[in-house]
Amino acid sequence: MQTIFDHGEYQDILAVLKNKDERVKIQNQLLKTNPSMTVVAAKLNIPGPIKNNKKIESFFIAGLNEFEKMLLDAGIVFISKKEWLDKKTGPERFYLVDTGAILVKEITSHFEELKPSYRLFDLDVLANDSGTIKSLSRSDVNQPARKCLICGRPAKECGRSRRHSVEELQEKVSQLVCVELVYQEKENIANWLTQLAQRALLYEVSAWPKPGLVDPVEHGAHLDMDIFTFINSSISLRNYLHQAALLGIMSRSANLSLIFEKLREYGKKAEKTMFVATNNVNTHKGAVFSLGVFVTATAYSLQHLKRFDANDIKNVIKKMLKNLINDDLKHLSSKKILTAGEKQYLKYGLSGIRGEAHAGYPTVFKYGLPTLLTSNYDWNSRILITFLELALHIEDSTLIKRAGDPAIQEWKNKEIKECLNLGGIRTKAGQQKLTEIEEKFTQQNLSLGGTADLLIVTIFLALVKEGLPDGLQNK
Amino acid sequence: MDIKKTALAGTLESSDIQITLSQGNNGINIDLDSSVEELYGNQIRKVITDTLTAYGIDNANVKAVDKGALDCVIKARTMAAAQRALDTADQPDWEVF
Repeated sequence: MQTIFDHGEYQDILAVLKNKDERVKIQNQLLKTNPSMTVVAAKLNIPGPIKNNKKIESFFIAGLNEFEKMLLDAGIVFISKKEWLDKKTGPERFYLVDTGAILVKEITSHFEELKPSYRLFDLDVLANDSGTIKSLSRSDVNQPARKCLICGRPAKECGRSRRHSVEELQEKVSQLVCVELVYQEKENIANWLTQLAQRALLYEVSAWPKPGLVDPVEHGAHLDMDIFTFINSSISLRNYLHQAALLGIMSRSANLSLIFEKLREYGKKAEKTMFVATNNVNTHKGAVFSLGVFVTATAYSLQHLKRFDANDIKNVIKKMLKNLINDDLKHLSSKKILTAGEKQYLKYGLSGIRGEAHAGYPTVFKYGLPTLLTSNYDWNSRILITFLELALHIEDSTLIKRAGDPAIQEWKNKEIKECLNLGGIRTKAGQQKLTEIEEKFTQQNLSLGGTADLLIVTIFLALVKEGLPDGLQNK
Repeated sequence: MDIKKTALAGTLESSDIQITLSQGNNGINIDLDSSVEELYGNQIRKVITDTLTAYGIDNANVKAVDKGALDCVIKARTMAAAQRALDTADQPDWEVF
């Protein structure tokens, strides 16, 4: 059984009473200087001698974030006037709220019932009633008195009679707080992954020079879009990437193909959002698919293994996408509007990004990620080195579509190999060659759009691996 | 011992008790306001009386507003009020505690 009481300083009754005196002093001061406002004194009911530690403090802060959201949702403005987050007698925060005490009390009562663990919050609502400080009780808003955590009798009775042992109470409190802390940690990881995914989108488009792709200097092969279109597109995908991360991290299901189905549902809406943001230009349609898959799979894998493991992420992806070829490519003959990848499957039997995805993105894991992780130059160089490596090993359906012939692949590989033989982007000659390739791509209107998608997911993985937060380990 | 001045200790916070001591001449009179009066009224009165007696206070008017305080809290708050009323140090007398 996990406990939240493994750290913290014991508090005796005198310390607790002294703290009550200090609290009342603050409350009275606030109401004296702001007689028309309502004061909310927020604290926790933590039984036993340990009243505060890191875990208790984060539980307190996260819960109050939720409470503050409720106030704002109700149109109420408030300021947090004072807080004692790490005080040994327990975390506390004092709010000045710009509305009547009854309405505030209704909200605090509602908050305390919102989740089982919020029952541990004690939000006192106080008002200055022509010079007298009045504390509202639950009966003022027609709420029953609080019930005991353990047995449901009136809390005051059990508290006074010490019906339940400190150990029993601590166990119950631990259980409630731990559930909430686990949830909080998952939310934090999801937010973090969302940020890294957006960074990956923006890193990719910012690297220069990239033949056949948009970069800040040149977009000759894509006249309908530029770096700004990509910024708009990247920003518009935030909500989708967050959904993808939450899906992976919150889900307890082992049914990964169902999880993928859910992701596609999100993805379809994200495509629409993207097209609105870009004025109907397809900037990231492939990335919506692949980056979404990587974000969900990485979140899922991190949640289950508590560490970064490329192989595990690959396996999760394979399980997510096990029906992809069957579902997507077997019934194409009856479909009216086909994507580039679908047309090529029918025409040349090339499975393109779907084949790559279905196999668990071998090009990313075998070539892209090791290249990016072992490079230790500036980000622009690291991204270009990885770009060349990926371009060399991928069957790029965007390239084939633009050329109208799969043979273009051989030409592409020859050009890239030449650049690499000249020393790649770390030598003058290699850089020269890369700029030349970029010009050739522009002249022939060729694109490496498929490579860009794989580059984005590779950057995402590297950002995760290189920046794992506390509680997760590198492998 | 006689009470020299009216003194107050404690707050109206939950699990606390507010004790106001003032001069009296007819033994210890306790005016108690408590939400658990029915169940614990006598016990609360006894703790207050015993604590005051330990300080040698035989005559006092006591106003007690209880918010579900435990015995140890009642005792600590009564001690603080007694010491303030007797003009002794503003720290609990540990031997009494």
